[in-house]
Amino acid sequence: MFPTPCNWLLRQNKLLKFQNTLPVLDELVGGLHPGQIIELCGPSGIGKSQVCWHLIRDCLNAGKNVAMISSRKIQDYDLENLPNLSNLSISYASSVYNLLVSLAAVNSMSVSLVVIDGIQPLLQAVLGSANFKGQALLNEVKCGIGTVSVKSLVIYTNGLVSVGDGNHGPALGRAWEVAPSVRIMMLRDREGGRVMWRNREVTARLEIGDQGVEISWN
Amino acid sequence: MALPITSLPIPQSTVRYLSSRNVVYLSDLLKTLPWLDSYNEESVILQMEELNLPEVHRRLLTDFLINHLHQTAFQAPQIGKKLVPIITFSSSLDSLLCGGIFPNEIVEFLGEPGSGTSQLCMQLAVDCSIPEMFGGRACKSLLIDCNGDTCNIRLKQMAKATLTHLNLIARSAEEKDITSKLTVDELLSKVYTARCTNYTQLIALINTVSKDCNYGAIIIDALATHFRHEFEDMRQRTNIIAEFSNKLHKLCIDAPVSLIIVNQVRMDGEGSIQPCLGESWSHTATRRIFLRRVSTDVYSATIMKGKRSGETANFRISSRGIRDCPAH
Repeated sequence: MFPTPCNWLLRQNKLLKFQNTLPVLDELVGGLHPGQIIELCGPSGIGKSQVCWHLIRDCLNAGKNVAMISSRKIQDYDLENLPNLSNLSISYASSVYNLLVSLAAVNSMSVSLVVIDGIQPLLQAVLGSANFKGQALLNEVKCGIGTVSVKSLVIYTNGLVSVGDGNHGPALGRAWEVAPSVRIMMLRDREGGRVMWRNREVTARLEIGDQGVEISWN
Repeated sequence: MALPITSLPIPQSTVRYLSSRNVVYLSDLLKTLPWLDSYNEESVILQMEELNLPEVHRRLLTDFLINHLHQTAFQAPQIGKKLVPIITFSSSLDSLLCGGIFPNEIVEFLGEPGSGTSQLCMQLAVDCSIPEMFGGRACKSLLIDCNGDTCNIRLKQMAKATLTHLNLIARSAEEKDITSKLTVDELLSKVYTARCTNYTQLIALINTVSKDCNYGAIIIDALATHFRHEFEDMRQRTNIIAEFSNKLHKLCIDAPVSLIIVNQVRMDGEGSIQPCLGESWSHTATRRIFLRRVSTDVYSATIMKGKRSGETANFRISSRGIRDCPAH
């Protein structure tokens, strides 16, 4: 990475940003442009993957390239209604090493959006190792994601763990808390609706429909 | 790739040997990395042989490279091949599941004791062997029994009922020909059962099956049985479950297998029902369905995660197996 003037980088980001149909999410995360690493954190079944697929559809509609690294097999019903399927590249990762290799490969592709669906199962398995290998691998993944995020927007999904007293926090430990540039917590409120939080203050509401997701201010 | 040697899953002796030869990163070792060219096992083995390492280190490193650095090529997805689901014989349950259970997915069924989970497992195992002419998958199924609920006599009863049903719906001459030659024995010969009495056996079984999987469906009845009570160290349990979940994912990606896992439920502090095995396990399944007993032979299924989330369907368990509720 050569030193580049800031105003040039900011202009590039504006150019590389793709048209999206989620203006509220755009504002919530501070801009869906390259350089951002967004973490969607929430319990199982709340709609993290749905938001990712909505953004993939927007990016493909705009004619840009998308790379997806998934820890679970993509079903056909996820892929229906997606235009320009040839601009979407999918790679499957079943261990941390697969993930690292995929991230290195993404560097040589020119994509506007990189989605890593299900990063928790890949990293959780190495975190429990008796020695320091787990943290070293976590750092490698952080660096890999950081390198990719220079040219593309990176979004990944994480899970929750209980942190005592009935509260929940993001999985993968304290060292991972600084990995994303923005962390969006997705939780259910008392009526059962889906709420997206940033930094415990700003909230937005998520509805999942047949055609995609809708995000509105709370 | 700047992956330090110390972070690879190889023993310390190999790490020390490589450090003594001034190899710090993986890229110091390999001139061309596997994913940049078209990857094949022979080229990796050849490259490793050229390096003149001692036999034991070479073998470990080659194993690591072949097992972990493959299946990562980026490809555009292709829709087109129609996938055949495994049906449950209850049309309301099948439409709730968008057709049934498809290959390459992990479906989790949850329920209290007596909510029909074991019966559903046995029915799905038998349904795998329905011939292709009738819309079935005609494949082998493996039913892994962890708490002893699988009953061979019940499987035979379900297979007999399936055969009667196929005989009734056969219309054309070819279909009638197939059903006249089909026997209960032949249907049951495709259903394999295995009994596991502790978690080590379960993991060993999945390891063996992963090597060359030619089953169409693997059904694990009550995964939580061996993980709930045997562990004193919760951290060890989380690690083992995380690794197990990775193995299941890999199995699903490599082969067109449907993985059906039954989980148990527990009461949490506030009195609400939660699935067992914790939050980190709950991300493994792509779909989760909660089963409940409504009345004597009527059961209900609700989708907790996946397509059509929140919807419910009712089904009945009779002497023939899982069937629809009679319409009133």
